[in-house]
Amino acid sequence: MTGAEVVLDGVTRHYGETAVVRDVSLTVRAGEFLTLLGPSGSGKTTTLMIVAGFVEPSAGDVRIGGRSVAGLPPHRRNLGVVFQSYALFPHMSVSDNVAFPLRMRRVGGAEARRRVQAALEMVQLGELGARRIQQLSGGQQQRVALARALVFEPPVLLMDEPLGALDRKLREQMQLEIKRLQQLLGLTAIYVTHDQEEALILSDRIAIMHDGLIHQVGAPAEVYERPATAFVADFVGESNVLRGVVETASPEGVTVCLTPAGPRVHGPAGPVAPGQPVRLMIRPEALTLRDGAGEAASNALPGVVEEALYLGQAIRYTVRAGDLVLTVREPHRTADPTFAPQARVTVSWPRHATILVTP
Amino acid sequence: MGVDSMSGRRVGRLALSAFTGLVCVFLVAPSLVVIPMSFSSAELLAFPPPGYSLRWYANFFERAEWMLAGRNSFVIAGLTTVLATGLGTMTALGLVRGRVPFRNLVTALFLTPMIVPAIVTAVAVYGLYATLRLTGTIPGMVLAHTVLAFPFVVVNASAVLQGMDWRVEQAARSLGASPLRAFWLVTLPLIRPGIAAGAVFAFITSFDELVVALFISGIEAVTLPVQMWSGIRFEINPTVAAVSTMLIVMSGLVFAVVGVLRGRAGARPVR
Repeated sequence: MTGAEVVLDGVTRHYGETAVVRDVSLTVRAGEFLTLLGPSGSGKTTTLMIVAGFVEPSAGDVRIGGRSVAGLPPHRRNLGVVFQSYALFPHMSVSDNVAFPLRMRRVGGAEARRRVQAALEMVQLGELGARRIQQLSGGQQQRVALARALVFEPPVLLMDEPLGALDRKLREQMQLEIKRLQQLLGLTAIYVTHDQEEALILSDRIAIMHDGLIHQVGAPAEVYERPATAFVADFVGESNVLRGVVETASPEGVTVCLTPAGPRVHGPAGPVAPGQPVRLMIRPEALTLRDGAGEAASNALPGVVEEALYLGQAIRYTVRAGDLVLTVREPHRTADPTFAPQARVTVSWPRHATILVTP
Repeated sequence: MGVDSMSGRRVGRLALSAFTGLVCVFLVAPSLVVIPMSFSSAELLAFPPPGYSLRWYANFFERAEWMLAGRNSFVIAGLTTVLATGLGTMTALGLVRGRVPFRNLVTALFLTPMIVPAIVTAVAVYGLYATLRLTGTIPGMVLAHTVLAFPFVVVNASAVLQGMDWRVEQAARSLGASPLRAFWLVTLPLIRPGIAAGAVFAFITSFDELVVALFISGIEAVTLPVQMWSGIRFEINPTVAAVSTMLIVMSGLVFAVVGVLRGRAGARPVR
């Protein structure tokens, strides 16, 4: 079984006056794991349901494996779908649930039994075929839903927040499992979540959605390190967002005068011109704290520690530097010295850690 | 103080139990009185009965008009149940899942036969049936009773449909089931307890119904309640009590079955 390419071409969906999905164009490559990431109401689930065939697009086209699926009802699309609530059939046993798609495809007898058993073993439930659904834990139900969506070897697997109902430990375990199965089977996977950490762990590429629009599509490192919009910067990971006006711009880099504080900040070259207002984003872990005033690095601001939160492997500081409030995340080992509130420090970061984002 | 309030509470609880018991007796005793009366050996309805016999049960099974009424009642209630359950389930599906404009108004309209006084329905049906020549026919009785029984199915089926997770049906669709197969294999089994309860109510509604039947049953389509009505007016013998006893036993059995069905449905909740 190999994956099929999924193409969304200018897909739009209106409900009355409101556009829930706006002109979404996206190519999910065969065998790729793509995550639609966004807050609730961003249109990510509607986009997934359009691919599954449960929602008709108001405009645009969806192509799976090169063929348009416009007007094709869900049961003829041959896609595996895993729902947030698992949507198992409570009146059937585990095996009957998994056998259901085979039954719909007129696969029966020994062949069906063999494939159901193989699918259950794939999700490590080989022993539980005879159980009733109510006798399973949440994690086991999730595995049954996965086995049921995979047993008929669909080329594409769609998942709508499948781990939303599980606790943290189980969720992390299932993330690895899903990733392993997807790679093992070479499936194309489209995964919907609002959990950015989950998206970063699972995905080959992430499409970040907000208000029905795709803001950025890229590999996890790309969207994290080079967010295209202020929304992406803010939604994926923590960030410090500063406003300023470009003072100089050259191929070596830019200098931005922060408003309203006035200090100058240096960043890598970007498509900006002097006099242009911009936003800068700096990740909390890119900032470092030094004792006292120190000598000027490429970017250095004097400040005072306002708050220090112990997070185990790191310490999260809130530092006031003039009118700016910055979040700093410093890795922490047991013997490291820490800064107490009221300590005078210098916040510094390398030039390349400054990221220009469009508002 | 503590002991006082405890014994005070015990007295209160005893008083409540006694009162509850009295209310139960008040509600049930008039119905239960017919049971000893039905085994009476006397010619007239009397309590307590002067002696015991099964003659009035025998009378019921030997007299053609009683047997005909009994058969009619079962046939009419059976057909009514089938018709009302089918129509009511489809209506509930449409009301709960469809895009219905003025949904609340439409629902209220469907439920009116439950609210309108039986005598009003009876007069209306009587007038209509006179022109349609349906008076005194089994199909006429079935149609009229279907109108009365239908809201009970709608109410019961709607309740289970509202509690259902539609993603389960969507899952069936995504796995390759056509809309009809998804409904048949997944949705229907999950809403079956509600439909069964609606069907039982439909059956009882028809089986118990007197007012409309008095108007339109004529001579051919006489049902048990109608026959009992004329029985009590023209021959005041304990046959009526015998029939009543059998009806009480039957109703009890039916509701016991519903209870078992509900219990079983409760044992495996629909997620």
